[in-house]
Amino acid sequence: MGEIRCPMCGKSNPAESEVCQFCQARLIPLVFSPAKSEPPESVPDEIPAGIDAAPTGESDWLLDLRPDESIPGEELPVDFVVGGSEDGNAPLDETHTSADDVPDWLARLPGEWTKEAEAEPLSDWLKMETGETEQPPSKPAEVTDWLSQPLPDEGQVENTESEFELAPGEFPSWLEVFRPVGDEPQTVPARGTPESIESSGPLAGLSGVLSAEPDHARPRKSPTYSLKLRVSANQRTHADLLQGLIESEGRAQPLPQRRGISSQHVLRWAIACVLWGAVLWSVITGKQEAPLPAYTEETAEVNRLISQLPGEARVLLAFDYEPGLSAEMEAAATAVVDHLMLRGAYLTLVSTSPTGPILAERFLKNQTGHHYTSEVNYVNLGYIPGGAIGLLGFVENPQRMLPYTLDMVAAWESEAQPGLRALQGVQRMNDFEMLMVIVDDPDLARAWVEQVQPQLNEPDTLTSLVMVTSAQVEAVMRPYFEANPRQVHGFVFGLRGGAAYAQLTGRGELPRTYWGPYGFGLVVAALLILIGGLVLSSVSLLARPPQVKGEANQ
Amino acid sequence: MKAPFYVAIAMAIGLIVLLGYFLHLDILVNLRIVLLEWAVILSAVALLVGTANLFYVHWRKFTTAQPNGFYSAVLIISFVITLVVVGWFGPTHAYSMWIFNNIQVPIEGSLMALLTVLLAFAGVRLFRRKPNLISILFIGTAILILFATGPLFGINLPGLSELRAWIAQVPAVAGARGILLGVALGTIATGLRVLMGADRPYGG
Repeated sequence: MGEIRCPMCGKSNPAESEVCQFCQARLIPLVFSPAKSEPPESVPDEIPAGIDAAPTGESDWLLDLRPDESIPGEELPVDFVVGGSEDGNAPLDETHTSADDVPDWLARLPGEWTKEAEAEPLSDWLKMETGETEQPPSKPAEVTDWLSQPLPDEGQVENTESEFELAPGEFPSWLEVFRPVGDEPQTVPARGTPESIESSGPLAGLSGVLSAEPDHARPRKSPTYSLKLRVSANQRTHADLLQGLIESEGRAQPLPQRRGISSQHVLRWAIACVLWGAVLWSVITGKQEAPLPAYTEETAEVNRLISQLPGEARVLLAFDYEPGLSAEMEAAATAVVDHLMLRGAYLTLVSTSPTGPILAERFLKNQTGHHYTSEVNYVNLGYIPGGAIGLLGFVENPQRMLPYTLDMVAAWESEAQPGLRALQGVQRMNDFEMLMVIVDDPDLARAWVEQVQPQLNEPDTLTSLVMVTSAQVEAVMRPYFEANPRQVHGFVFGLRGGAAYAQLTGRGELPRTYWGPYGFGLVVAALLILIGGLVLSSVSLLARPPQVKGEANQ
Repeated sequence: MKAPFYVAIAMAIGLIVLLGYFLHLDILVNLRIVLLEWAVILSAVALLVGTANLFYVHWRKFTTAQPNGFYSAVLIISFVITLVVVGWFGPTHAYSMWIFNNIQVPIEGSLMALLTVLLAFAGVRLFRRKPNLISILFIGTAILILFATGPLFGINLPGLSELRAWIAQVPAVAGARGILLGVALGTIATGLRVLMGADRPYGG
C-alpha cells in the first residue's frame, strides 16, 4: 500500500487520500483540463479573441501529453480552478482572469492578447488586491457588460465560468527548449505513485510542480481535536514524579530530631566558659595590671590640638555610636573628652543616631570630676534625621536644621534672644574651634569626613576635625589622616587609643580599668583559637578513613 | 505618562543640588538648602511611619494569636511604657535615663558579648572546615593582631608591635583605600545614572 507525503506538514498519508489527514492540506492538485470543459458558447465583447480561443501557443505534443482520463481534481467546480469562491457569489470578473488577472511576469511574455490586456482597466477587486489607489473611472462606459448584468444563479455561474479557460501564452524559444517532449515517459517516483503533471498554464506538462491550493486560503471550520492526551508509560512515570514533587512542596516537613548534646554544643559552651572565666577572674582579682600602650602620631596630634584650644572654645561633639558598643567607645573617648573639659570648652552635642543624644547625656553624666551642666556648659541639640543628607543640611545651615535643644529650648543666638552660652557667637560650622566625632561605624565616619570637610577647607578657617573611633574604623580613617593636606587632623581608635591618650594626659580611669582585663581576654581568645583549631584539625585528620590506593592515585 | 514626570523632577532636583556645589549663586544655594530640608523632613516622617508600622505589625500579631505572639506582647508593652515615660518626663529625665541605662544598653552589650563567643567558636572551627592556605593566613593574622593589641601580660616581644603596626597601616590601609576608591567611583556612577534617568529608584 503506497503512501503519499503531505507537502505542507510532511506527514505520510494513504495514496488514495485527497487531503492530508493531519493538516487538511490538499494532496492531489486540482488540475483544470480543457478537454473536459465545454467550449464557450458566448464570449463577452471585452475579452479578446485570443484568450478564449484554443491554446494556440501550445504545440500538438503538449496536447497529446495530457491524459485522457480526468484527474480527480478536475471534477471539482471550475471556480476552484480559476480562483473563485466556493459559494459562487464571487465576482464574476474572475472569469476574466485570462485578461485582467495576468501576473506581471506573464504579461511580459510576447503575445498579442497581453497587449490588449494592458489596455483593459483593472477590476476593482484586483485594485484592492494589488494595493493600487482607486482612480475615478474616466469613462463610465468602461464598465463591462457582463458586470452590469445581474448575478446569475449558481448553476449558471458554473456553466459560464467553464466557458472561459486560461489562454496559454506564447513562450519564448528558450523556454520551449525546456518543455518536455511528447514521447517522454511519465516519471514515476521511487515510492511507486506517479507524480502529478501540471495540465494547464505556462507550466503545463511539467511534473513535480507545487500545486496551487485555493482552498487553503478559504475560511473553514477549524478541526476538532481530541482532548484525551495520549501518554506513554514512561511519560506517565515522569508526570507522577513531578506531581509528587509539587505536592511535597506544600507539605510541612518535620524538623530533624535534634540531639540533646552534641560535640558542637560542648565546644561552644567550653569556649564561652573559658572567655567568661578569664575576664571575670581578671576583673575580680584585679591582678592584670598592665602598662598602658605608647601613643602614636595620630593620638599625639589630637592631644596637641586640644591643648592649643583657646579658653572657652566652642566644640561640636557628635555621638554617633550604638549602645551595644558603648563600652569600647566610652573607654576610647573618656580621656579625650576629659581633656576637653579640662580646657573649659563649651560643648554642642549632636548625633545622626536616634539613641545618640541619650548616649551623650549618659556619657557626660559619667564624667566625674567636672560639673558640666546642660544649657550652661553644654547644649544637646539632639538627633539629625536623614543620614548623610541630614548631615549635609546641618553642616550648611545648623540653625535651621536643629533650632532647639533636647528639652525644647531655643538654642541659637538671634535678635530676639541671646541664645545659650555654648552657642554664642556660632552661626555656622566654621565658627566652632573643633569638631570631634565619636563614631563606631566606618560608613558614618566616612560620611562625616566627606560632608564636613569641604566646609572646613575655606580660607581663614581654623576649625580642626578629630575623630574618636572604634578599632574597626582605624583602617578607614588612616587614609584621611595621611592625606595631604589632612582631611582628618587626628584620631584615637579603640580602647588601645583611649589607653594611649590616658597615658599622654595622665588621666582617664576607665581605659586604665579596662586595659588589663581587655588584654588578658584577647590573649585567652587568641590561644583558644590557636589551640582549639590545631586540636580539632588534628582530630579530624586522624579520624578520616585511610584512602584506598586506587582512590589515592585518582 | 507618570514616568517622564518623575524623571524630570528627579533630574531637575539632582542638577540643582549638584550645581549648588560648583556655582556659588545665592539662588542655587538657597534652593539647595530648601530641598535638603525637605529631604530631612521626609526622612524624619519615614522614621515615624516605620515606628508606627512596627507597632501595628506586632499588635496584629498579638491580637490574632499568632505563634510567638508573646514576644509581640512584650514589645508592645515596652513600647507603650517607654513612650509614656519619655513623652511625659522628657528624654533626659532620670526615669528615661534609667530605662536606657538599665535595659537598652545592657541588652545590646550582651548581644555584642555573644558575638565575641561566636567569633571565637568560628575561628576554632575554621581550621577543621577549610584547612587551606587562605584560612591559615586569615587565622594567623587574627591571632597576631589579638596578641599584639593587648598588653600580653606585660611581656614585650621584640618586633610584635612593629609587625602589628605594619599590618594595620600597610595591607589594611591598602584594602581600605581600595574600598574608598570603589565607593567613590560607584557613587559617581550611580549619581550620573540617576541624573540621566537610567536608574529610577523612585519608581516609574
